[in-house]
Amino acid sequence: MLVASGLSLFGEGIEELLRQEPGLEIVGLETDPGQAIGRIREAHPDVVILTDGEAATGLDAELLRLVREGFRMRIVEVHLATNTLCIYCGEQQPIREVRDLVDTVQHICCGLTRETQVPLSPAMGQPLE
Amino acid sequence: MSEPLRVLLVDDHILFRRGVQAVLDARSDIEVVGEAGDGLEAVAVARDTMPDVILMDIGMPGCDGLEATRLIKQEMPYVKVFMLTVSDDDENLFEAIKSGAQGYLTKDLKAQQLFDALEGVARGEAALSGAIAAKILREFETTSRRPDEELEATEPLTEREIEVLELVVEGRSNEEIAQSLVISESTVKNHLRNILGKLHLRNRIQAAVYAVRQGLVEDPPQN
Repeated sequence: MLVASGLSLFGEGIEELLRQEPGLEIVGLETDPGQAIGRIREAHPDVVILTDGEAATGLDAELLRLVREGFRMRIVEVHLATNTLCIYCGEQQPIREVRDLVDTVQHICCGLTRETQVPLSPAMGQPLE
Repeated sequence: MSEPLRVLLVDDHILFRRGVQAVLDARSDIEVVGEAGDGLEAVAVARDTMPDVILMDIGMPGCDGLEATRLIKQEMPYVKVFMLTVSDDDENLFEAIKSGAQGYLTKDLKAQQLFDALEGVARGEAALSGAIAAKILREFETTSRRPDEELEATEPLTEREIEVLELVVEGRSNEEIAQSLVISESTVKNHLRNILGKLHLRNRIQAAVYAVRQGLVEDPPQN
């Protein structure tokens, strides 16, 4: 996991909390968006955790670029304003026939409830409390 | 060993509360005695735990951190309240100070800077993030200027002391100043003691205000 947040104290806290969990390895904590992208390219984390303020820094666009490049990672965005987590999953599927698109859409939607299907992006909003 | 500093965390974000608690738990000289998710709960937990310091968010549902600070300072004036918030809005800043807060920290500060701020509590220091200190300094600058002769009443600072003072004005911690000047942290502390002694001041905030007022250093950069 890599934590990317301009809110240093928040990032350090998250890092400390996750470090205590067995099975999770923190490969980096970055407060600068450019350094975060560099670290992701080096370390290939499975999960990137970022705070919603990073959208303003352009980090989200850079992460999308990485996904398009083929980085398979989950992005967990902590929305402090709404106290929710938004999870984005980056995957690439080869297209062989039209059915691939239909199957992909059905595969994505089968895990969602009626309520959470409305906003397809972000894929899922989960209140923390 | 002296008693640990007793801290109450107030923030509506559970991840933030628990994260800061995890960071503070690593310190034996700091004890987190409680937490609260909104202002009214903060008042109640403060009554129960009697903390030395409250780290208080501003934007919370129901009773916000400014109102909670007013209530707490009315009832428990000895409790120090440091705002710890994402907001660097001028209105919130000055409202917090009017409400009785002794510190205003933004959440982009590093853990070490928070430790430094909390260590300053024992010395009666206020706690201000670099950018926040700069705002207050500018406010002071525009409202009053002290006469030039005041500078002459003080002993001159050495080049090194002025370098240290410049970094204090930028809101750097002792550790950061030490790294920047390639000297030890204890040397930084000694420089600061000398600076305060020469300028007849009590703490680094006063030193920073004085330095900018007197033109000893350049204005801190704005974020």
